[in-house]
Amino acid sequence: MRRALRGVSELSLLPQRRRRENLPTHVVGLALLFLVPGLMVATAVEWASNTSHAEMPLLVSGLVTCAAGLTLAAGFRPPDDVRPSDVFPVVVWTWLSCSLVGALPYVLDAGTFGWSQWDSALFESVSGFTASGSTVLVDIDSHGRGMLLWRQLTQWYGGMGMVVLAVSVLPLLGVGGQELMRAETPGPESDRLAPRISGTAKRLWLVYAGLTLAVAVALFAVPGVGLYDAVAHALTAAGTGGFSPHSDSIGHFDSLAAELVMAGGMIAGAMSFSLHYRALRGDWRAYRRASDQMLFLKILASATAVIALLLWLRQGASFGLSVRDAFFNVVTLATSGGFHNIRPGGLGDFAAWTPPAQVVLGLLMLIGGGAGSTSGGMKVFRAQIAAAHAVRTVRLARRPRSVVPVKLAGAVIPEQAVGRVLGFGTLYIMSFGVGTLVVASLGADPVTAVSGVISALSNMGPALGEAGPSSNFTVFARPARLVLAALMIVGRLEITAVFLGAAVILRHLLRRR
Amino acid sequence: MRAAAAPPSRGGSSGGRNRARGGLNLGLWTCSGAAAACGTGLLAAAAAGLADGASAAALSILGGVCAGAGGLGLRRLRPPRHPTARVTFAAACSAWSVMIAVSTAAYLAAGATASLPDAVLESISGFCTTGISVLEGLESLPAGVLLWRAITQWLGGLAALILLAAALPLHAPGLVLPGDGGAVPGRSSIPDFGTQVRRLATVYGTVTLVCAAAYAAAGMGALDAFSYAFTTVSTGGFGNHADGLGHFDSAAVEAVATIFMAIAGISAMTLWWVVRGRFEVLSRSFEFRTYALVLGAGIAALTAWTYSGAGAADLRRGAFAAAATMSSTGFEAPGWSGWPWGAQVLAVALIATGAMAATAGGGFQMPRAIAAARYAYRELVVEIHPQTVHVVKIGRHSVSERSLALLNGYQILFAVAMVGGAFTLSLAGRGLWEAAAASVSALATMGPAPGVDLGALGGLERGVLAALMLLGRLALYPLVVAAVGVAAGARRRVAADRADGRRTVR
Repeated sequence: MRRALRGVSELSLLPQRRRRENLPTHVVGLALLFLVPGLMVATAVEWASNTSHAEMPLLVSGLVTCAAGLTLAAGFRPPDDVRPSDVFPVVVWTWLSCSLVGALPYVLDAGTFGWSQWDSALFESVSGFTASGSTVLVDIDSHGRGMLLWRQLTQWYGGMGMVVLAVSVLPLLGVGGQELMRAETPGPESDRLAPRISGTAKRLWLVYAGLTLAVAVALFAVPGVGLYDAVAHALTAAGTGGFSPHSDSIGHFDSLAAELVMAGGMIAGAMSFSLHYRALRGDWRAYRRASDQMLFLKILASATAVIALLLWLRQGASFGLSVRDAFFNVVTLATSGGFHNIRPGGLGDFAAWTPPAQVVLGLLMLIGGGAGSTSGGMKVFRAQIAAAHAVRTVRLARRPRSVVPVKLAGAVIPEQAVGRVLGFGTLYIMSFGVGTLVVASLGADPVTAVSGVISALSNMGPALGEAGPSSNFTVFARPARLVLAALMIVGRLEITAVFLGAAVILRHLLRRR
Repeated sequence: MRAAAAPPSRGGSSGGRNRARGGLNLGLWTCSGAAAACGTGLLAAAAAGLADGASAAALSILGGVCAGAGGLGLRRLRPPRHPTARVTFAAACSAWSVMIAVSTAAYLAAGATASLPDAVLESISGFCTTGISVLEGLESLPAGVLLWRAITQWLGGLAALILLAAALPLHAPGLVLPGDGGAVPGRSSIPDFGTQVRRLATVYGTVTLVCAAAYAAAGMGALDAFSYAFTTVSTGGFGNHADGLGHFDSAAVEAVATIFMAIAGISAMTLWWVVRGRFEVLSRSFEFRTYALVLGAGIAALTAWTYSGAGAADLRRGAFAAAATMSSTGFEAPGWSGWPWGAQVLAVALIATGAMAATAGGGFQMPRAIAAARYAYRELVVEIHPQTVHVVKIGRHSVSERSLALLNGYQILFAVAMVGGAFTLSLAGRGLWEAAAASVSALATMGPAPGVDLGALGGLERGVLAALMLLGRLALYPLVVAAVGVAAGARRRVAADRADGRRTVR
């Protein structure tokens, strides 16, 4: 498959001189071609399961995507050298195109959304590709297995990133390949696993696929979980997505073992895949050397302890139940997983928890997981740098003439990196403020608006208030859902890439005029 | 050589001793100034409430003692000319502590309340220019006590102006972003501390007198006119009536309050030049233009959101709410807890944003917001053009990298304080929105907020709100640095005691 795509990339049917140089279009074409196998598998599952009659919408979507992908990938070629300003439009166009194509099956099937609810279809697709897990699909269990598998697959594709996928088959790309990956994947700096950037991308996808397989096997071993459910949930656990083919998510199984497997998958998904790769190669101490990953685990442990205590003391639940539900939901929110475990007799509905516990959950959503992972949020390393900077400024205020560097785990962080993190934080706060104001002005109550926007920016899934796990995002007005979908892309691409991509695209359009 | 051979002394070098003595002198001098100001205020309040007998006597005795002790201190002590940032912070914290202690004693002595926590919270709220009041039966309180409540806010506003617009820019450069509101073409030098204080006090006093005259012209009695002028210009928000300005049910009173709240949100340095006829400072100041734009947009948005078809009345309500929230004056807009959600969220956002620098208002303030936005823009530019050198500016004034670093730290501390406050308030039983709005409002020294019921505050809530008010009023850093200093001192002392203990055992 990869060789075939590489063939498309390198040896087009068109003569080289007739292929115009256009990196965004070429990468979009490659990304779309990667979606075709997913759509075909979903078609086959739909046809085989006979749960509904959505084979044709899936098949037609697959064929359209294939045709579009081939045309774009073969009709255009990447330039020999890529400038930093070329990178951001690539990322933005790729994500927009994948989200639009991903919505095709939903609009073509009248039983899912149909054309009349194109905005809901787009929301569901964006939520899938950004691995958010917020849904506007009601009565999920009634839909066909193939269609629901496609929904799960969108999260799997989006978890690691479409651009990373495209980069893995790009021919030698000059300096831009690493920039492309850095624009899409979060982290303090791109961690090279191979001499060529396509090699790094391939290794990341390999680890990702391996993790998915491991979660699927472990889930299948749990009594009461069938093959379809195991695969479907594994696809979204590794990508910390949160979609489930059941309305009651993991609560459907009412099984502690299933919750533990899913929590394990989400935690692994929220930690650096580069570190997983190094660990698989025998360097297990790589985890210990990464201070943000260790801190992430400590945050999980302490948040679980605080929330379990609050549930036990304030909500009158038994200690065991408090720990179980606190752990699963802390993991699902901190990793931006977005699953829930609402079940009879449980405490899975975190939107009904005592307010201090919800404040902690909001913070977990905001912080997110480790760098280089599939999780959303601001990321732990940014929180570390921001905290270190705050401490530094207090020292500066005490001793104005002192020179205080920002340090993490004993290492001095360059000022440029600190500036980047602080700039990101400011942009995050601005996006959050504007988003909350718009969503609240469209009718959402403040708690729902604030948590909905944090959830969208952090690619979490369920929010608090009316948009909690027992409900869904249909509580938001239709225009508000589009705003939230835009915020999901902003959050998934770590804000900077979207702003810069939009600015570069706008500049190109204005120049053409 | 000699220094190396000499045994280390616990007292430190003579330079260190001099610095310590200088710091102590500044602290005592500032406390004396605070006591003298409070004493004068108490005497004025006692004079206004002469007819009340016992309470007036208590206020006048306390006022006399404070004014005498403060005056003596001011005559005897000589503060250092160039104190360090830490000493300035410590002096500011001491001054607020003295003012709060005097005011607490005044409330208890005058019989305004028999509860010490109530008296403390009322005093903190007053000197932090926050509109949270816990005194009951305001209408039945003696006139002297009512006037004293208003004076606490006025003095708090003046003290904040002196600290934030004169002392910190001089002794802790970069800590407060001054903005470009006080910049006049052709004058690049910064005036000295004394000149700054004189200008600030003159502007502040003049605007207060004009405001009191305007209130009186709008139909208020002398006591109410002065009380409300004190609390309007200081962006405090205390009132002499349980229903605040709504008690007068007068469009003229509401209009006067709106205009003077909006003026109170303008930099005192800008007002100084405007009073002197240099009107071009308004058009040249990017900070002022941004403030006017945000205020205008806030008025338009709040009016549109709460429009009920009443025309001028709706506009008046929108303007009042926008001016009150932006200047962080604690006057509640009528019925704002029943507004549409968007309007409520906007009101809280305006509270958090705040007005211009060099005002008695709180919140994040305009220069910080402008600099933060431009900083974020710079980081975007640098992402595409890594070699570029991009200077962040407010108007024509460039912001130093040190100021930007401190600004980012302030932003983080502001967020941490806000979330910490919301968490603790939710622990005390408040709902999520109520806890968050109350936390933002207290940190921005506003007090009330839409959807927040400040009726019955528990012990934990009082403590949290008081801490947030103080943090917000002192621009976070002085209190945080003072707390860190105290903690570091205690740690050093414990370590020294342990070392002594070990030596004794040996």
